[in-house]
Amino acid sequence: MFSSSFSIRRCISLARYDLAVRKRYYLLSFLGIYALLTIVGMGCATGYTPDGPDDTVIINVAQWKILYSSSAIMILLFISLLASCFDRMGKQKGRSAFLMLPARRSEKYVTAIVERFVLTLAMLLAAYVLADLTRAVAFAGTTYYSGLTIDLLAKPYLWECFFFDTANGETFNMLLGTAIKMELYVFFIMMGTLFPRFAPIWAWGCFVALIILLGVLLGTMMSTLSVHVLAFMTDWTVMRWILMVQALVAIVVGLYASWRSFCRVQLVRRKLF
Amino acid sequence: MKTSNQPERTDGRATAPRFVMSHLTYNYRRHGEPVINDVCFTLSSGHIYALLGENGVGKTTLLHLMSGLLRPQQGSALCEGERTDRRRTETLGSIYLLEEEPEVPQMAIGDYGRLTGAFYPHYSDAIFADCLAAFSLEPQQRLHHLSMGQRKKALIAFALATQVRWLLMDEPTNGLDIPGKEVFKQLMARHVSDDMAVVISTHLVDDIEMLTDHVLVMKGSRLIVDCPTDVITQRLRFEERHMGSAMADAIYSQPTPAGCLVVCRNTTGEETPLHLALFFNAVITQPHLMDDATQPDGDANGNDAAKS
Amino acid sequence: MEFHENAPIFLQIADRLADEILAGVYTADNRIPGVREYSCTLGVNPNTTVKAFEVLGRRNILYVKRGMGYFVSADAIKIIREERLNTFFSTELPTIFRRMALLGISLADLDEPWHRFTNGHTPQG
Repeated sequence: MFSSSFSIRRCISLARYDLAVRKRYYLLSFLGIYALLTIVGMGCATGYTPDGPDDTVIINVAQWKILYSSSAIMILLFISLLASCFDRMGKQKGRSAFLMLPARRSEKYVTAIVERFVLTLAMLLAAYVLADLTRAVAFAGTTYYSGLTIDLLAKPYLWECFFFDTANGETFNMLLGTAIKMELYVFFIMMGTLFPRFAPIWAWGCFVALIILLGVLLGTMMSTLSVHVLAFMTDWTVMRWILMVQALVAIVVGLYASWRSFCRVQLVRRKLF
Repeated sequence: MKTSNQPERTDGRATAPRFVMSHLTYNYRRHGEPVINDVCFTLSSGHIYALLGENGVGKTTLLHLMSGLLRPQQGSALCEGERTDRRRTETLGSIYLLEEEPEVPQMAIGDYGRLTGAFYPHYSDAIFADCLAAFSLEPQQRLHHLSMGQRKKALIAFALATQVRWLLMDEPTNGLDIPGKEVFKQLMARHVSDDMAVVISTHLVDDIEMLTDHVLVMKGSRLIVDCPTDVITQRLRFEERHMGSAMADAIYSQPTPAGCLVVCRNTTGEETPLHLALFFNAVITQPHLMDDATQPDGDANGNDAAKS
Repeated sequence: MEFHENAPIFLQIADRLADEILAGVYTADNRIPGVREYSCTLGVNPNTTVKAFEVLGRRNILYVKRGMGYFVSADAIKIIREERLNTFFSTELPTIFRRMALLGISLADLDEPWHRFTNGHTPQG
């Protein structure tokens, strides 16, 4: 196994090592995400009662709100977890131990990103489903909306609607608005990795952007009015493309930011490039 | 005697692997005196080096420069021809640095050995198990539940198990209990093969006095002593004298309950055992004591290692 | 590694002080360093030094002046020399004699080495 070229086996060893070391961290993250999604979901659900029995909308308002807020939070968490790939590197000694592991730089980076990516996605989805089920259980028998997951599973065509719903461009509008605000957050992360000397400023910027983003999102959830305001973007085809491009940009930026932060931790104490 | 694990370079003649530090200079700040200034020395496998120096002189910095964690501003640390600060996989796999206060992940000792040992080509599970048993540690114990002394023992066991060619240890015996120090000496004798070189940076000279065969002393930002222990005992005698004896030939002396300990030139040809603490005190007060014995930067054939 | 003699530390200290008196570092009726000072020089527990001083006091090599410390007796050097002669004849010499007997060396065999020694070296204190 000991060749100097890129070795998948070494990547696997790195992944196993990383998982063993951060088991607790991942578990706590999962619990945190689950708690957040449950609370937000419950809040949304209690804010609305379902429309009348003749509701022609395939997914009703409450379901939308929950979906929006959850996906917005999930996207945020996804980007932030990806960019904070190397948060263990804060301490000097944590860095040294990781640096001294005999493996290529590329192997370490790729393993970290891929593992994070996969795990984060898995965690988010699992947490979302669990939160949904919790809400279903908590609100069983009440008039409050519950159990989107069960609904979606029962009606497979709803998945199609979620992504390609022509009658309700509002889904994409919501995600678009989220993507714009999210880029502000990513911008600060990028600044932080390029100019680490001003790290506190960037950190505060991230924090403020995040607060604004979450605040606006949650506020939007609570107000039907905002949904209509965003609905002015009716040309959903164009919007969908813009959204996808922005999502791609966000991912590329996130990867770049994580690469820069990885390169930075290669230098212990003294920045040389 | 253990046989060599690594193939030797064949460039005309069989070359023993060397770790050459040439003109290493490093400064933590942008201005002022560098912590390490123009330090040159060479390590060859099969020796155990003692790195001594006063507090804050830069021993840990030197070890970090050697292992490639820090990048020297001038000079280079060449491990078998490769710069360590490039952090190539082969180089990383042949060096292991045991820090003074090691950071341990939250897992069982056995798991740590298995997961981390997978990266080292010559890692031996048998040696790891043997060392753990000698230190009275169980593989099921969780690293983060252990005291600092026990963590050190676990990591010393791991360090020896990696069987890397260049083993660097920063204060390994600091924090070990009394039986632990004995065990450390035994394990070093048993598991350090002829193919390995160990550098032990320490203040606890008593623990390593019997182990070392080469002494490196740092003072200021330079290396003032770089010579084998035989050379030291050939040139200097370490005696205990009673008060009132002739002291004209004493280079250095310090009082003891019985009289005083004295370092003097060896004119009789009879050697005394090396008293490392006394030697250190003598050389710190007289940095040029071993100047003529300190090895020049180069190999036995007189080629300038800085050129390689 | 420390050079460990077989004698207890406080006796080693007493002998050390006696050596110093013989060498003239401390002269008759003059004060020797206090307990704390001497302990500091040697890096030992002050109680050990006190024991050493008391031993020398009992042998009349030192005497105490209330509130002022320990002083060297007028005939300290004589006492020390006498003690050492006694030790030589009662302890060291028999050891040498036993070895000589074991190796079959007679007194006559010692003549030449003795002459070489006295011609080559000046006697030490």
